[in-house]
Amino acid sequence: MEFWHLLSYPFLQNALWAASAVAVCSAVVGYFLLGRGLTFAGHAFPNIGFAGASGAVLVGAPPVFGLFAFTMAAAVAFSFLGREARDRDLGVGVVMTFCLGLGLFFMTQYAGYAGRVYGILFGTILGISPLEVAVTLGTSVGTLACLGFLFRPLLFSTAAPEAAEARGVPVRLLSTVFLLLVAVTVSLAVQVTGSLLVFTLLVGPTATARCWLRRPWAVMVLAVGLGEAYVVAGILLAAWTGTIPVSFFVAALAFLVFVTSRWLAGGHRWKR
Amino acid sequence: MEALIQSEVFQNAVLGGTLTAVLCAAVGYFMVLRALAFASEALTDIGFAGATGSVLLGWNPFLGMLGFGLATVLALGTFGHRLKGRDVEIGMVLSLALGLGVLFLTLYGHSSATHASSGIGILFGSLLSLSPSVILTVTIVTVAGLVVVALVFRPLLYASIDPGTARARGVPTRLLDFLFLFLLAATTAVSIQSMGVLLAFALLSGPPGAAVKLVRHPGGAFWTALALGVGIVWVSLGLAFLGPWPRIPVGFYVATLTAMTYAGALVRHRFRSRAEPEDHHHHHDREVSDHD
Amino acid sequence: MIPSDRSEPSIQLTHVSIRLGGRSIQEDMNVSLAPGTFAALLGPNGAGKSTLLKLLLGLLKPSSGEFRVLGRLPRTGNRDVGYLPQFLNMDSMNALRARDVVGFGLDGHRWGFGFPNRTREQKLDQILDEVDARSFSRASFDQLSGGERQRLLLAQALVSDPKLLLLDEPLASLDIAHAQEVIGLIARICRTRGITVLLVTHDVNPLLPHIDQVLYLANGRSALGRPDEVITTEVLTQLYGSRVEVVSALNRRFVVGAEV
Repeated sequence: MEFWHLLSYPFLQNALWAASAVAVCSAVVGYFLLGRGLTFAGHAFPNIGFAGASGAVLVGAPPVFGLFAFTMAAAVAFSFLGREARDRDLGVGVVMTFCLGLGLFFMTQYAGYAGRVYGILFGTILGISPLEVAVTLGTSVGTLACLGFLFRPLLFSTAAPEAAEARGVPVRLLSTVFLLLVAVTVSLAVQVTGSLLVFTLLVGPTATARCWLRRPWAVMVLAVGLGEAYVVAGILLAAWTGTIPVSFFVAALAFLVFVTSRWLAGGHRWKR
Repeated sequence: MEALIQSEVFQNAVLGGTLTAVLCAAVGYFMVLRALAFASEALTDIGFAGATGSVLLGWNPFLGMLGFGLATVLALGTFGHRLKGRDVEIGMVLSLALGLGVLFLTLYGHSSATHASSGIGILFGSLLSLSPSVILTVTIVTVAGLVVVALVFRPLLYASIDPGTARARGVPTRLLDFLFLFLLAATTAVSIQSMGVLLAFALLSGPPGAAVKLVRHPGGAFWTALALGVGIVWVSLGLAFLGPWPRIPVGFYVATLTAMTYAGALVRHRFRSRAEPEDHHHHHDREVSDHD
Repeated sequence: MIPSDRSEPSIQLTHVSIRLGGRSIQEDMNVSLAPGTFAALLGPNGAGKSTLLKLLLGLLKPSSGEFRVLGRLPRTGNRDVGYLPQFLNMDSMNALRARDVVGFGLDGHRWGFGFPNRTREQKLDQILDEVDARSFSRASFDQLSGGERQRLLLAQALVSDPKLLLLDEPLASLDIAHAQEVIGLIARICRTRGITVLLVTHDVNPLLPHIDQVLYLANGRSALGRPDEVITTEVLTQLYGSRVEVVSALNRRFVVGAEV
């Protein structure tokens, strides 16, 4: 199949639109995720979402409802976990594993399950409908608007939570709201890369961008660019090869670029 | 019911489950002390890539997992055995591992329908599908692992709780860091075999996590972790085999019970230590300094 | 220290007691700090030093007693109180520019994105000059030394032109040279701006030449006064409730027999 031919197909255009929106959200959210030490949570959310989606399919509801319900509940649960990284990580891991166990339970209650489970795990971007694209775009815009509004106090409370609180920033509330925004972003991203690899899109671009740039907005812009590049390339390559899922390409690209950036630019202190 | 208990499936499940629980609790105890939760979760996903890759190549998945995990630990050794706090790097390796696993799974799944569902099987695994050869390898690795833990228990404990002082006293902390990661990789492989990739983390995190919160004395916490882990596995097997709900997988019980145990320990801990001394968090996060 | 024409104390505690999680941290504190005072807050771990700061910032509520900061009840978001925090998220801080860190004190609490403007940059330059940090204002936080970082945090606390400065262990991880540098800077700022400074520290010795008052917390009790009045065997023994001795040597005071 001619490569450029692909771009004229609506299914591909839909996929690209949705994926681009998700990549932008993920990059911005990912910046704060890394900064706040919530990396493990970033990995847990999609798995928890998976359990929700499985449950939804079991009761005959659209998976995306279960996805949102579970991830948002998890967001609230996580905001109660302590500040110490060690405790928080354990708590996140235990909640995640419990939800995965639930997902397993849901799966075994329904016979012809594997197909839909595959879809949730690996992503269904190449089969996304125009309505889903519209919802994805709209939700992404809303999420980005929220993040823009919260930008300064979120940054402040991430870097110096006590000082921020003393200045009047509602640190705890902000923390919960942020986690909810992560939940929303993850639920959107699961459609693109599947629950197994949402994490890459959240963390990879920001991790790479931080090797090269310092100022928050600059890091985010670069991260958005990288994320876009990964998903576009991933979708095109997946459509072209036919069998290999988008998520693999995204993960492989993100990793390669990250390692290269680390090697070239990151990890050493350079003189002022 | 008598027949059920006498059956090979059940006996294998109990044996495999108990061994897994013991090894996971023992190694998981140090994992908790060293705050390596994310790293060990990453190892389960690395195991996923190892398992799916070996299946694709026709190798023994357990050995594939073990080999791949150990190789990763060796490669990471150049980064620094200091994995704690290196969330970003761990995360990227985790992503790559998952990506590879997805690739292998897809390639494998395309060759046939049964292959596709056994792919899912790797993800979710089951104590009930442990064949005798698997039991054998699990036993060997578990025993070896426990022997190692017993041998290095004291220095490992010291190095985990207070690495700076331990190093000053001549404890080979770097070597122990490496050794521990190997142990963790091997333990992960065992846990994946019994519980599947997605749930392997449960027995590694829940029982030791709860034990550390409940019991202050290290020795006591260690044995509590073991007891909790084994207890959870037995209760889960009991519920799965003898319980009223026939089609609920063992993994679900294990995951739920570990979560409940950890939650319970958390609640108990919060109640007990309401009077936290003001500077309790002093030594944890104060890092505005030159030296690291 | 400029004698102030404001008669009202910067900090006033009357019969204040502090309980934290069922434990009594301080009982019946009566403290009054005049404007322009440079005071050190001392005491062993767990005595309530950071807790007291949090109370003054409005982050915690006292169990009983009257609490006045600059004549009013303590509350968060008070621009007249500057705070140098103890806890920082280094993961996040390390990626920020020095300038941006100081900028937090100016508008970190305001909603929205915050587009740059000239007034803001000028204000930042001004404060950076005051703490002598202009030369590295564009460097990233992780490239700076401990002393430089503290200067930036100080700038962050000062940029809102506060009347009271609360510093939580700014010297904790600094070597002697850097500590002296920072102390000198704080003392200078205290004098030239005429603000009240309360500084939490473990080791009072580097501060002795500069401070006016010491507030010593221990064992649920407190003592306020000049350093040579408070850091004495008699006063501290009474505070701690057990035998403590203050030894003077080489222009320094050492507290022996208690955890400081």
